[in-house]
Amino acid sequence: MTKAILIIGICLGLYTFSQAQNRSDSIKLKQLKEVTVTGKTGLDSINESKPLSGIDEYIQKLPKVSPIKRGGYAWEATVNNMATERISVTLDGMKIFCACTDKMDPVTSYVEIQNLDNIQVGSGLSGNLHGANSIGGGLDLKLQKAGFHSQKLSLTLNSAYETNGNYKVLGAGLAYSSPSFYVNTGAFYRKSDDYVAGNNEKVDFSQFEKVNVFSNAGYKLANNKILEGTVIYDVATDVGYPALTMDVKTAKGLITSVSYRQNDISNTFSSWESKLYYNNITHIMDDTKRPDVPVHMDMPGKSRTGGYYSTLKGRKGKHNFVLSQDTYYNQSLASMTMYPINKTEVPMFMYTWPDIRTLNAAVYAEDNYVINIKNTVQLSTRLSSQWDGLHSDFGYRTLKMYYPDMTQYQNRLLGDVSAKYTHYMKDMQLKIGGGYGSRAPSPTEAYGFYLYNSFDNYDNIGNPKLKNESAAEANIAFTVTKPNYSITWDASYFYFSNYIIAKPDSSFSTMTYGAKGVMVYRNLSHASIFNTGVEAKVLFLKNFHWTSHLAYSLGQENNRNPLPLIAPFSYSTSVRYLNKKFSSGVELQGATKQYKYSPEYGEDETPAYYILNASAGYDISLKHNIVNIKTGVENIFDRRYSTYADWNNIPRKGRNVFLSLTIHVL
Amino acid sequence: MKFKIDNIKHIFFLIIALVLLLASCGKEEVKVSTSATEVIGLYKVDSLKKGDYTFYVFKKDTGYFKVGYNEIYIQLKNNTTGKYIEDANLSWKALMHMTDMSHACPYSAISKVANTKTLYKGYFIFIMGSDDMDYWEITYDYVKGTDTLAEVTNRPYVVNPTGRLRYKRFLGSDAAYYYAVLVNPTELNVQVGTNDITAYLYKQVDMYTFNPVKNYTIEIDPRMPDPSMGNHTSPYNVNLKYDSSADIYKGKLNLTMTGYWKINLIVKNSANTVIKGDSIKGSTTASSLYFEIEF
Repeated sequence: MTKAILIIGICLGLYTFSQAQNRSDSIKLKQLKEVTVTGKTGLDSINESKPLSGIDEYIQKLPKVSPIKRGGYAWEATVNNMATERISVTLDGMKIFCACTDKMDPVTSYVEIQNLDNIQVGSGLSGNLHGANSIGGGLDLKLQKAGFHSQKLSLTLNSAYETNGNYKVLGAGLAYSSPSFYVNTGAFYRKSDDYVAGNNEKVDFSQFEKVNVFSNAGYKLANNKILEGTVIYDVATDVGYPALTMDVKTAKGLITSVSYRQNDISNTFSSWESKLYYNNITHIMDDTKRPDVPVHMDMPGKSRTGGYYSTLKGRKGKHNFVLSQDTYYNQSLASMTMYPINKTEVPMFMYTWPDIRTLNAAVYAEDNYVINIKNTVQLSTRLSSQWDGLHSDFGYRTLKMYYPDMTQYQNRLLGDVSAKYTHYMKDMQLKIGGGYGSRAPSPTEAYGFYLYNSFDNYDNIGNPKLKNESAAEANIAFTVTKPNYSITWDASYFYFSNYIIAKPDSSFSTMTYGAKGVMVYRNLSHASIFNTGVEAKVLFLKNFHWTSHLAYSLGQENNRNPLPLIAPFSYSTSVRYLNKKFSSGVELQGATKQYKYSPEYGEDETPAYYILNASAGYDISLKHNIVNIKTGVENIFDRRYSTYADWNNIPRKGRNVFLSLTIHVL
Repeated sequence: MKFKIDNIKHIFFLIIALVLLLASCGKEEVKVSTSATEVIGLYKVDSLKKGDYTFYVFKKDTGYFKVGYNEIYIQLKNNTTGKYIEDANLSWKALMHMTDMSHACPYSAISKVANTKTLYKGYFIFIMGSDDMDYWEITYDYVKGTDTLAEVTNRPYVVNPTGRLRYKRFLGSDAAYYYAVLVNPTELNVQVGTNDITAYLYKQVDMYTFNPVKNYTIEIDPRMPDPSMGNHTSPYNVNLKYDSSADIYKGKLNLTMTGYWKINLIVKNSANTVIKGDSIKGSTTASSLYFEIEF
């Protein structure tokens, strides 16, 4: 399907502001073929109805992406109704893996919206340059870089307040650009108390606090040789997860990279970038603040990943090609210590991720072949070799009880191929694509030990004997673009073989207090996921934008039972008024009743809902300073609702009034 | 350039030398077995001198006797010659003295430890601890022909340091008294994962006589009885069967995590009749016969 690029607005980086502001809206609509929303920083602070919202709320607006929500913070992105195991989430191509066995810390939770320039959404198997072990697609979070420009210093200050949850945002960013050197650095702080759902229902343990500091720098060694580096340090503390039985004391991420890029190497090779990276994630859960905890537990986790990639891009005749090699090494280690009710007994200890090591090396090739002005073909393939296993002998002995013939380490060969054909007609565009690919089981699926899933109330045990999961994908997209409107219909179908999912196994005994049973990861012979959507955009009365989305998905196991966490029919429609200084909009969004749900996985029928949001913003110019004020009301009618993706049906935010202020000081 | 090649040569030879050095280190040195080396790693429990001879008593796990199974090592020294006796015929017995009665306990004969010159071993299964009123008396004998060359008696303290149950006396359905005794895993070698479990089963004939029971089975069902754990158990345990070559019951015990485990037991005779114990189902959450392991 399309590699839709959604460029999100970020408060920092004034350097593009004047340029961006001069862009007319009609140009924007033309770009809708590949780009859903475009514009940089300054422009977006007008266009985004809520410019200082957290990254979770941004992700929610991306096409084909919908997050699974376990609280007020750290939502888990899904692409094409596939979650962490089946998608890749990378930061500027860097592989980062979460450190929490219960998915409380998706990769996106370790960055701040201010760190990013845009998020590229890859759908399905095609053209996912950085996507290891991904079938459903991927998110590549592109870092915000000040870039090489004429000498300029800019300082941006941000603050925002939301009434619901007493949510405060403070941030500052400093950027310096020159023709041969740039640096941008900043800090962001967010703190929210418990939020309140519709009908004044307080959602306990939905608070969070987060600090993010980051720095990017670039240096031109020569005109076409660039050295760049990034450091991000992100700490979330006291994060509540109302849908889970535990909260988080601290979630820390240190993300570093250094890269070397050479541009305009020859007529054939346009750029060659090599990046070395390392990141260290630590995650400490906390149940000490919960009332009536039957058994207190310590559940620390850590994930460390080091790797590199080297990507060569070029053009030969009608071929635009990409060649890449990437390798990463990950350590995922998590343990659980349970303190017995009977205090005369010693604490109970086990590894839930028994020091799982993964070494993955891949080669990737992509060719965009322009047959003629009306027809292009994109071919891509990835081949990777993965070695993984348990570095902990303790953990190996543990899992070997369940799988006596398992080996401590194993090798897997993985790969994918995809092809996409695009045909351009007058005002119309047709895309047809297909692909086939495989993925290795995730650390949890292969080696996780007694991981409790509060959604279905089962303990989950990994299975090192799992086969690779594979999928064939077919997709189609048809777009009509006219000066005043555009409409796109798209659909994708994934047919899985050896689909990995946990199934109850009554021969094993539960460990978690009150758990219903034990599930073990298995390969289902087949499963399928179908997604389709329509997006329409209309420009009327010069400054009014009317945007509507409809989406429908269907996910089935081989016995036609529904897969869990598949979106029901959903819709949104919004009308926004935009001119240079002033913007405002109203938005209606909702979903029908979830007819297809999976009781086996703890789902129930989520009722239909709709909510209404409204916002308004204004830019004030004060000599050299530009002030952007934005305010709005979300969920105006204070409806109590939850979506299919709300873990254990925790309700979403009730009425919320927000106010954000961005000042470009320099 | 020449300089560089020389350097490389040097490095090359250095590496070869290192490899050779490491290889030679790896070779096992020829062990000379002596009275001193044979007790390396053992804890001394007692030195008992009587006349010309001294009995040295050792254990592998602790420097004291514990209730339940005790694997005991002995060396015997001739104090006159200073030499250790290499072909001693040793025997022993244990007696519990209580205020109004006395009794013995199950124990093995003493045999020479294979591949040693001076070391002998056997086991006692102390079926109660000692205190100020009740004490164990152990007598060690060195006999040659019909002559007792040395006999020494002492009163070691027998304790239960963990408070956990590693042996159990029970009345079987055949109206006989039995002792089930956990030998392995010990507190020292128990691990998460699969453990070799071994046990002895003794039938009490009278207060002083205990006979090993052969060809029964001991079924195991390990559980974590802490209220927080929902009586969690582990999969694929292997019941203990009698191994006639080692005269002990052997099975496989799986433990999924550290902590307090109750190893519930069902003892069945060779006709598969339950002698003692209950299977865990329904409202029965524990067997009347069990061992305890905590680590």
